[in-house]
Amino acid sequence: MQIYINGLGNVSPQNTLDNSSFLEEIKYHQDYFKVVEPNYKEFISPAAARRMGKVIKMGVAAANYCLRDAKVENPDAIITGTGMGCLEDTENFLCNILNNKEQFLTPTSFIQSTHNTVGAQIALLLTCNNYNFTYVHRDLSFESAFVDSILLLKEGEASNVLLGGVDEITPNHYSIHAKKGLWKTGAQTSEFFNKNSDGTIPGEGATFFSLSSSPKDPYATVLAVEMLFNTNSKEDLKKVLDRILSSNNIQSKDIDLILLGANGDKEGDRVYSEFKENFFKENNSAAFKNLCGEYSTSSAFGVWLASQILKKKEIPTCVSVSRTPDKEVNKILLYNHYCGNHSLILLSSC
Amino acid sequence: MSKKVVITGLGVISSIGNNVQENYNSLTSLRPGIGHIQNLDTVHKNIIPVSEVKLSDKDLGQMAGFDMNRPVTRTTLLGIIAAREAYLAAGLDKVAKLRTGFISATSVGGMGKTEMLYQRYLDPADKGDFMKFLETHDCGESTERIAEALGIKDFMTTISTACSSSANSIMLGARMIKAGMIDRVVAGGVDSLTVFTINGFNTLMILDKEHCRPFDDSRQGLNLGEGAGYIVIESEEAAKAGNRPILAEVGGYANTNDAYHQTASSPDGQGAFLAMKKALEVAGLTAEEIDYINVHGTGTPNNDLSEGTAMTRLFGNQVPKFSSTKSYTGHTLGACGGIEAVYSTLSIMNKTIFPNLNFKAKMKELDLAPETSLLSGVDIKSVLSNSFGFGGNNSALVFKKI
Repeated sequence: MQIYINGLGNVSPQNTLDNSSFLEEIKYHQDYFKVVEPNYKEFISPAAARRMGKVIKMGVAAANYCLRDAKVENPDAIITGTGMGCLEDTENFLCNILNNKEQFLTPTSFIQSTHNTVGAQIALLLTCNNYNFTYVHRDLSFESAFVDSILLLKEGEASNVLLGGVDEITPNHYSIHAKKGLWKTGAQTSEFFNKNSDGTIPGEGATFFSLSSSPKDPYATVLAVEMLFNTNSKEDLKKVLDRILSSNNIQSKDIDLILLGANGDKEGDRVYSEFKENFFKENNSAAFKNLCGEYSTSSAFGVWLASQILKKKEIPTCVSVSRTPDKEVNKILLYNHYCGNHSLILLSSC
Repeated sequence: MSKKVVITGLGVISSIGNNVQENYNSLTSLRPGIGHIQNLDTVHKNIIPVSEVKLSDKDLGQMAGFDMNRPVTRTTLLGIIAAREAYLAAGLDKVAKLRTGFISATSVGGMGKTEMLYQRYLDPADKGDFMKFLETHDCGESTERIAEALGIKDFMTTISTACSSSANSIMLGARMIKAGMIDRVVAGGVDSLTVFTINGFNTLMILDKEHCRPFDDSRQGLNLGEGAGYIVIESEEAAKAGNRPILAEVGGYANTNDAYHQTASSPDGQGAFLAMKKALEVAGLTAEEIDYINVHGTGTPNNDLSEGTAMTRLFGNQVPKFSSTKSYTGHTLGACGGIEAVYSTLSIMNKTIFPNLNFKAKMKELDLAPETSLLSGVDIKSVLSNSFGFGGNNSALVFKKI
């Protein structure tokens, strides 16, 4: 069975909602990447929007854009991945508990702090009674949701799935993790790949895909989604890569672009250079997190970018490739890793 | 896709026992674990009853064999204890060749530590050793630590769909085995009590100040609990080839969304109805073939009425015997689907229905009464186990006698 990406919806730190332009100009941010927020009124009543954490609004908007793009009214399943969940609501409720010594609390932010709130709100607004899962497995949350989506389509339990990756950043999250030295603090996001500083620059986003077993003006087909857990062994990676290539009957040279999750952190980026050096020395490569920042589900942004490149047959100038492609880009392999967890996603043009 | 998925190991820790045998003993001696808060520092101590595991983190660390110099949460420790019990019971430590996965679930993950340290995290000047706990906050962290303790690397993931979380991890595991993606899975979930959740449910005014009374007309709400429950599932062929004891079959499963309200269940129980109906279909069973329902039965006015309505819609006036074991364990949130999967399997294995404690009178709206005394010698061929959560996330599992 072929799996097609028929629709996209991406609320990100770039102008990614308008499908008529494709990353024509790059937006820079101070300290960390913040999403360009759409007009939520279209999807959520102003009263409800005022009470909602940002990630819920981002998710609902991106999901709606995606369904509209794919011309799907009510999806057969809604599967979401989020590494950190509804941070803003969680922080609000936690701070209220701590500051008011457990007194005078109201339930709204608690209700919305649950990790499945985004998926639940999408279902609620669509009155969608179908399968609804939320994965929360660190930097493999989106990939877990992706694997389940494919399984559901292959089981024949769904003919289309709304798949998404959502994570938000908050000032508290930024400053707490800055103490741990994770960020290039006080930087402009234009300095993302500045190798003279340690750490990365965090970001956020809500990226949705309409997957289907039948093509409808599709962006791409999904050839493989694989995860590796708690390993830094080159052999383990090679085994999975070999499996991906052989099951799709292709060789490494057939992959036109390797899209790397490099995030500007010296230590972490060494893994990407080694990956390229070990397995795809001759292939063209590019990175994408200078557009969205580092966050648990940032690979969803990478899949969005790959899908757009495959359909529009163009690589935007803000995506710096290792060399100008000498032929059409038909196959893209996305490689992402964080702390011993790795993911490999192979997409092809249709 | 006709592969049978069978259960070969059980593991549980809850307020009524630190392992399967202790839980079974409490269930059959009608001994609930609900009482005053001991382990948490909260203003609600002595006011709001909870269902705590009666061991300190230090004791749990010892029991889990965890190096307590490393950053760790109560969630992880509870999870290791229950998941390891299931893993060893199935003899998985002795078979190396099969592809093994770990699918866990939790609603708040490492919140128990975060809420203790959050103000220190926020203070830019406070930079002690405590900062190492920052990485234990997210829901996936406990999964990684538990998988590491069991030596599982082939597959792992974490599901968080509020109170149906761990039923969903069993459902995913069964589907992956049927699809041939993995040979065996340790599936279930864990949650520890936190000040965060106690205050959250308290603001919703759905915590009973007395022992909870599921399905009783006088019910006022739920009691929060903590614990972990995991089952080992594998294909029937793999279990037989490995001579592992087959305890029961995961016959059916379904997940639906009520799509009614973020926290309240619909009056007609639509999501619950669809989940139960679909689970029966997957199991290839008619409604009459269900011998017992381990209901979600939290004890909130809303849940029990909605769930009872859905049961009446599906079973008509032939509603099978049912009970809520949350009257023993409290509502363990992300762990309850796993814990109740263990109890449902124990029911089948021991031909026993555990009673619904504290029930006196039927709710006015429905002609439904749970089992109130221990029933033994009941030939239970099929059990339906319900788990419903915030966000309208409803799941039902069917366990069958083999």
